Amino acid sequence: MSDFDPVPSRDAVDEVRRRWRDRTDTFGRVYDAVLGISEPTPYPRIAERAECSPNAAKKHLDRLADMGIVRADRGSRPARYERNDAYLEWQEASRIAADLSIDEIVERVERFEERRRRFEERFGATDPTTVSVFDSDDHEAIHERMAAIGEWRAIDRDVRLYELARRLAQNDGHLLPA
Amino acid sequence: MVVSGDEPPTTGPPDRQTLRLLERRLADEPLVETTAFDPDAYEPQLLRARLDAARYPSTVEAARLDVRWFTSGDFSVQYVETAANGVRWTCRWDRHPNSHDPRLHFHRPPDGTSVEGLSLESVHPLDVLSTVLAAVERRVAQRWDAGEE
Repeated sequence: MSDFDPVPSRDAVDEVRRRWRDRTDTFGRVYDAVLGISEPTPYPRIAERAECSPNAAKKHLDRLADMGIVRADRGSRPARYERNDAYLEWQEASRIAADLSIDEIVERVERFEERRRRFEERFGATDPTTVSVFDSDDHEAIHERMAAIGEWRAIDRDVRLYELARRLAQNDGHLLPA
Repeated sequence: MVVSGDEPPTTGPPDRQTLRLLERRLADEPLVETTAFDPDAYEPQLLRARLDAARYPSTVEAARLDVRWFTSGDFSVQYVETAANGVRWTCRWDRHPNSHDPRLHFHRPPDGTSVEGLSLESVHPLDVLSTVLAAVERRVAQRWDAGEE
């Protein structure tokens, strides 16, 4: 019972991937693959992740780029693609605007600010990027700090995201007032 | 993650898009009963997947996967199994810089305290998840093979 292998055989991993392949069409697999990619990546490599031909991957990536979900760098050979974080941030804000009331959005921003104050007190700093996470000798302490600093760094981003959501909610979902 | 000489290594905020991608994948898996974001879907920091206890021998009370993923490419995927007698069996696949272990490492079961380097062909979230799920499925099979009911 103790011979647990963190990286099982290729066959065992392939079986899991096969379930995904059987249930997800090629477009869906390219979409899944590129959502996990945040650096410009040549499309043949994305095709490997999506388990389809390079040509099929390129066709679907170009369509996703037209939709705004993906950023294309067609100046490279081969062309490179990555998820379009700017578009996806707007999508997140839209989801918040559609599902939460303006009062709830404002309340959350207040909670973020309160949490930010607590982090600043705890670490004696106002900028999370100046706090080292990994210099502790205790592995579990590193983990706890990693989660804490990640959460702290998320606050700045989330405050901006919720500000955008509030604007969208006030304009009936539009970026621009009617 | 780029670490230059004058700034301490740090980690990014949770990667919402990757957490959502992994939630969709996990929700599709036969071994997974429910998925949830912690604290919630509008502020996802941690992805929890409760595994279907019915697929385990009755000696296992509950099993779950806890997934954290950061925009810096760091991650932590923890598997926790709780036996009917309350004893926990846990292990963790990790990627984060630190002072004494490789960035990519594994916390060995049963309690996760012993750490070893980990070698993965790819750290794309889909590949990491497939590896973890395959390992957990092998673990489930082993428990049945051990003659548990």
